[in-house]
Amino acid sequence: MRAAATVVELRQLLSERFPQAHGTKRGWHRTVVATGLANFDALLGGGLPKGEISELVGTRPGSGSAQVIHALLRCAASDGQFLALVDGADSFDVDAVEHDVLSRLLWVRCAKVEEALKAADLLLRDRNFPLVVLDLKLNPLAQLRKIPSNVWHRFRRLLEQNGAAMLAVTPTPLIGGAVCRVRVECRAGIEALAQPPSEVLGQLHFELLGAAECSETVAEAQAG
Amino acid sequence: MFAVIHLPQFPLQAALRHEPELWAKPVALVDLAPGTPRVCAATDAARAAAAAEGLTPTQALARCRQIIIRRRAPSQESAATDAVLQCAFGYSPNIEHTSPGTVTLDLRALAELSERRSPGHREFDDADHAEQISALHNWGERLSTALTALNLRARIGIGPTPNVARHAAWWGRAELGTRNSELGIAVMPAATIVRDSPSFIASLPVAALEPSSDVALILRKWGVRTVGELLALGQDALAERIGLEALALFAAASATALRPLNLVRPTERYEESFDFEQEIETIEPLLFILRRFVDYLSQRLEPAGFVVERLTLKLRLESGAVVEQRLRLPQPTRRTDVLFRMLHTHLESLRTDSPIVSVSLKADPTQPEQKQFRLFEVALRDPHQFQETLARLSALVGADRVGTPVREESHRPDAFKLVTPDFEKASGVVGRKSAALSRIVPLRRFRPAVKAKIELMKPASDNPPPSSVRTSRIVESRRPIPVFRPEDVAEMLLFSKTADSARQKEPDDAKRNAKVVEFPAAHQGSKGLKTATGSADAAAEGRPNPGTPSGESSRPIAIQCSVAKGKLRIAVGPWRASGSWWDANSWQREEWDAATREGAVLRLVQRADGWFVEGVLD
Repeated sequence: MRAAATVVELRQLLSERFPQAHGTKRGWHRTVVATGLANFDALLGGGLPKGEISELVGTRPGSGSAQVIHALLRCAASDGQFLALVDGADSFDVDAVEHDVLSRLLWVRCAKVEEALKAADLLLRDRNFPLVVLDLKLNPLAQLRKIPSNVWHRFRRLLEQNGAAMLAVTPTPLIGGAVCRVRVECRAGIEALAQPPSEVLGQLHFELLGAAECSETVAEAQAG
Repeated sequence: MFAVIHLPQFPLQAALRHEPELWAKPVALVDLAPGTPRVCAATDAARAAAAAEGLTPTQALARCRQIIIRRRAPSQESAATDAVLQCAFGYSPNIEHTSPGTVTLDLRALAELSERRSPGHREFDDADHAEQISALHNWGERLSTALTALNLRARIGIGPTPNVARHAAWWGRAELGTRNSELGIAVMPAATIVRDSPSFIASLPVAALEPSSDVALILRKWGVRTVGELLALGQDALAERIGLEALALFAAASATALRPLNLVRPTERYEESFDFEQEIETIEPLLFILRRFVDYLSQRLEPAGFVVERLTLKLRLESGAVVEQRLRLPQPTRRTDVLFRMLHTHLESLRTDSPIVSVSLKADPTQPEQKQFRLFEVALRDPHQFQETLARLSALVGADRVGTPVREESHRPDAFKLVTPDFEKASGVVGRKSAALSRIVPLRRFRPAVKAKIELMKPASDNPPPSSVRTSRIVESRRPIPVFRPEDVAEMLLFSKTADSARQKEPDDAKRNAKVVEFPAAHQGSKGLKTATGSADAAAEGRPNPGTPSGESSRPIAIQCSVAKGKLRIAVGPWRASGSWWDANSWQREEWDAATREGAVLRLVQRADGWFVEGVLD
């Protein structure tokens, strides 16, 4: 009897610790972090899942990933939250953001991929930020492909522990363990510079890429 | 009742406070102040090896080769005095710094130690005595524990007068511990409590009264060993024989005389220092001693109810230089793990030119902060952790590359500085409307800007535009002397044949809301320019008018750089800006927005040093 009870306790512990491995998908995405982009949130079932890595893929230069990052920052500021941005290539545009919104941003300007990954690791261990954005869009693809997969695994473990959400912006599908992988495309051309940012955001097109796990979760969220 | 805290061998205790493990080894403390250095204090192990006080260091080394020589340091004695006074002040508001290593406390005002009488009884009975002795013992035990935590080996004596308490502290446990029951004292583990003062005083050796050497010799020849035997001689008879010193001896032997205490308040100076015997070049020994500093400082702050607001770390180098760093805590605290982590993080990134010979750590005290959060206010979970993370990030990427961006007071694009984040003082919840106020479409910036080769098309009437494109660019200015005023929307019409025809095509609402900068034709130069927001003052002063093309512009038609290569589908501009023309940091630039045939939208900038790609629409 004692052994049986121990096995039950062990299974329960493993189930809580590794919910994905035990097929208990419903409810393990406890909460999400809204992005402020209606079509993006709808695709993700409410927002970026907490405790997981989400990947935003922008394959070409004008794909709109910078617009998404700025939208995330504004959404965090409007919710009274803080956002940590690990800028892999130091490309964040300060001029497009108001002072009040900037005051809620921690910006880490990195020069190399290694720096960005170390900075992200430190921020995930910090446990103060509900959302960490890792922007690797402009980093050389050759460097990105050298990132060992255990880095992402470590990030996932840290995220599970602190309950934060992480969005990695990449130029190509890169993160094997990402729970959501979304490709973003922007149909706007040079005329976008004449439009308010809200209109440009409306022209972003999001497409969910092969993440069966995420799809099921999204479907569940949409169904109920 | 009064209590006396006595620290035997106070200079040695002060010197070994940060190295308590040395008490078991032969250590000699050398006083360098007089002409010839002499051993002024020694541990029991050193005395056992005949290396006692009064020897020179060489003589001490000759008698004991393993002896460790330490210098007497006034700064450490001062810190130890501060520590014991601050500790004593936490147990009684009336304290006296009687002598170095001796503090007298007045316990008469303490309610928990006041004399207790059983209800209905006027006189003290045995039960009352036992209860009071127990209360005094508990109090003494707490005080002793606090002093032990500071690595101070204290003897505590409690008696009805300061003099009796002093004798109890000095002689109570060392000399009389085995005979306590018949001497009217209670020798507890923490303190010696005197119940019957005359019996206790009478049992003390004559040396307790500190007679001069001559008088001590006379008394020894007379066979007078204890204070009781001395008192039996009578004050007048003794004074006739040995003079006025007899009066001083009888006063020192008084069990009833009360004297007013010279009350002091401990300083609010919380500092610990240590001189390394050998220079250190690695972080480990420094962290080892800093850990003890942090523990001591935290314990010293606790009785006063203070917390640490700022730490000042001072490192003295072998070269004579001093490295000083002030570390401000995001949230005042006296948690040792937080304080130590902050120091550790700082030292990890510290490099010094020469080895370290001494270290001191000072804590600035403050009252604990009380804060009431608003209902919807979001605060950092752990500000101390955040501060540490910031320090680590600064060490990783550089202090100038981590923080919260603040735009500078300049019209220059991408002019900002990074400041230390202060999320506690960040703007409250930013309304969704205000968060969506920005009218500038964000780019991805290239820092530094990418050098580019640009092929230009000369403005000439025989060069027709590639297509009739109508576009505009929203420009938001941030400063009182703007390129365009904040509410302005500059509408630029390129490659149209006439401004009138363009105006006919403008929607009515656009005409109302937009101020139009019209370029009738690229090749017409500035003569045909109309601007709604040009600065008349600037023109009058003869300096460049930002935003106003001052001459013929050449349109980029092809680009070659690491970001893009090939013909441009369209180029819109120029937008000119300049600033700081009154000093050496003057700048002038001309911006173009261009789209490549692949669809990338680039921000091209022409400066004095050439063409650059500053960003890309993403």
